[in-house]
Amino acid sequence: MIHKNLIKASLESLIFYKRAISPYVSGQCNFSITCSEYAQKTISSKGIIKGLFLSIARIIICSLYPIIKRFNLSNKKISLKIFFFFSLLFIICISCTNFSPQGGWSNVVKDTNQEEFYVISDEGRLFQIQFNDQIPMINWSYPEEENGTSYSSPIIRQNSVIGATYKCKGQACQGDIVELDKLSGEVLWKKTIPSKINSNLIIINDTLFVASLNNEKEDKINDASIYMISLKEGAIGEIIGKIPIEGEIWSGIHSYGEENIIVGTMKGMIYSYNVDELLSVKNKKYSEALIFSHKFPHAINSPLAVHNKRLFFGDIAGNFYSIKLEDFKNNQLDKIKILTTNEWIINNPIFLNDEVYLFTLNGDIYVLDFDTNEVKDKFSIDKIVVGDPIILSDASDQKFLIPTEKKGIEIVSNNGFEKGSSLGNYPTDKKLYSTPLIDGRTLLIHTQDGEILFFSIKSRDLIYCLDLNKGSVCD
Amino acid sequence: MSFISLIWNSIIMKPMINSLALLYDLLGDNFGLSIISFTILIRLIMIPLTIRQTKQMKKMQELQPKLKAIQKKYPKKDVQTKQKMQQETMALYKEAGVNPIGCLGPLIIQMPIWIGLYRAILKTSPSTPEGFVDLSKYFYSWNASISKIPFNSDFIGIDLVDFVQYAPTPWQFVLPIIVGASMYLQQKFSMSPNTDPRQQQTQQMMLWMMPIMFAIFTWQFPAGLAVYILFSNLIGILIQYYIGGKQPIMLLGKLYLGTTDSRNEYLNKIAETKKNNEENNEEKNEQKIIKENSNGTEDIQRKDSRRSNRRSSKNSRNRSRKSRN
Repeated sequence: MIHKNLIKASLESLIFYKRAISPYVSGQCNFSITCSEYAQKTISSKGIIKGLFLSIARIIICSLYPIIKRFNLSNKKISLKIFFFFSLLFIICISCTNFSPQGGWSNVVKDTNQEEFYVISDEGRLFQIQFNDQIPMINWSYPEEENGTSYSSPIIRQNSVIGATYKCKGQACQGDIVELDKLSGEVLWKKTIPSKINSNLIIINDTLFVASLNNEKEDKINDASIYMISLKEGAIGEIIGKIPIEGEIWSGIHSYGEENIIVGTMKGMIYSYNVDELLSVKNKKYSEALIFSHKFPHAINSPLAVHNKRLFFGDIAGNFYSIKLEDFKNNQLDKIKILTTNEWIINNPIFLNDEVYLFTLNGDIYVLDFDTNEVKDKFSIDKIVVGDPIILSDASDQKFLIPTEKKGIEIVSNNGFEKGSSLGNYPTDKKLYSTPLIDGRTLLIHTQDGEILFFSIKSRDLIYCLDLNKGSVCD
Repeated sequence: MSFISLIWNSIIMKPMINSLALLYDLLGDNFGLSIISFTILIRLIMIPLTIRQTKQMKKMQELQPKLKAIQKKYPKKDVQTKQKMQQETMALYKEAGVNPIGCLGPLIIQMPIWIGLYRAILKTSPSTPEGFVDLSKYFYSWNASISKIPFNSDFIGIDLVDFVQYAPTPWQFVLPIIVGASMYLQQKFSMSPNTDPRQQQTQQMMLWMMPIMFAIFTWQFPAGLAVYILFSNLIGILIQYYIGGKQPIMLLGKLYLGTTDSRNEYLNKIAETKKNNEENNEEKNEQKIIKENSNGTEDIQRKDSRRSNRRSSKNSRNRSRKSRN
């Protein structure tokens, strides 16, 4: 019935168009059956859906007719022209495809002693920010102009701050690691490596570890390497080692214990090294310092978290692994506990009272038992979560602040019967790929396009917005 | 804009990336084989279109004499007669069920596939973290091959994601040349012996321009897309063999691969078309002579009018000078 009525209505509207509109709007029709007649025919014979589709196609073809008419060409030549037009379109479409790195994943890091904040913008500049009469101001930035891009957060040392950026020209990429004086923003040392730097850095034992993606075409066996840069006096800024790794490192280098590092790669490898032994290795035999390594079937893009002597990590296939470090060391991999979520895991889990809170990329929250890795509870916020969530605890209650891709910072309760329910959000439509930072009554977050948003934690209003690239208040 | 990208993603990008990933999973983690089998699939889906195209081309050929008759009917070139002529030719096309732009269908449909595949190949092997996050949005929730990411894009020594210009030394030159050559062959095979000399000229141009253009394009493609175009052309040749009157074999007969009979047949056909062309050319020349004769007087008139125009402009200039003085 509805279908018939629809056909009737559309036919009547076409008749109306033919009688009332068409004579006054367009000139002579180029086709022996006019488009409206054609539409009437097809809709009445072939039904509304097919008929409408066909008549739209016909209108498109007819609108190409002026081109033919204008150039007055034979059919083959028209086809040549149209072909060239489309190939031009093709080239434009290809050239406007932007696959260059965008960056803007750096967290805002607070220097607790000085009340200063550090962040690396999407343009690869390191900023020092300070509150001046409750208004955030940029003290200094390095460099003054755009300098590639960055995915790593700054590291704060006693009197200095370390940042890493990289830039590409065509296929050739180079990464810059720089240490700056906190007071003046002057360069203490700078090192350039021929590689991208896609992840966070770490300092252990006065040695800076930088995970790189190998760019050199000659080095085909190893996809990545870990650079060791000395921060000791006398040899500051010198590369003292380069550990070959199978698979690219995207999730950064993580530490556990006093002086152990652990990395996961996109080829599913996990490596763990002892830093002390790495520093005393001779003739580049880094395998001597290896504590354990193992190949898993899928790519690992989640941070490796160690808590209470247990290792946790997720992979691209959506498996979340949990194993005791000792069992891993002793190669008892049958003791590994696997939870399958079927969603990408690229975030850091949160550990709370014998429970593990796992956040997947698609916004599912799993509450797992610490020992057994079994699902106790599951919620979903149905938003894309890239940055690591944090906990906001008041005297009375506990909440998760989850940065979502374009839908603000989601607030999820972790209390009693309303556990897992959404309590609203800190609104913004910017891409959030970094972790929020709680500073007293304000919540800071670095957006992907280089702005820092300051929210009031209680009222959830945007108090201030600082555009790093402009150096002033946002528009 | 977002609406267009939504349609683009749901119609082209998502099916493409998912099927590439599925094929990659099925064919033992080989991205090259995945792209090749994807090509075969696309060509199979497009077979009805190709058949229609060849049929339309045949019909167009059959219409040639009638079209010529119309052209003869309206020798004058003023606007009204032209309109009449066009209306009549359109009516002729309608009657025969030929769409003059219909032959372009496969070509125009190929364009979004090329653009989509270009993006899909680069997207399946992200080189940046945001590319990685972006990729997850393109997968259907049921597609388990998502766990195979990142794909191993190495295929007989070529990185399929890398641009052809950065491929190892023999390949970066060999790939564009093979693509161009296959394009040339496919066109040669799909072309029908045409009777109209003007059309033949444009056909000849297409025959040379397309391969050269594509050889240059290929330089800036990811190697995977070059593989797609190459195999698409090869399959096109095969399809032509089955639909287009087994012409390729005749052509190959010319290249001393077929039997003597087929070769003779082919040579006869060529001789026939040549004869036809010569006849047409003679006709045309006659027409040209007539036209020149008729145009002669007009030209003189035009020159006169130009001169008078110049004069009048000079006069006006002089006038303006005088007024200034």
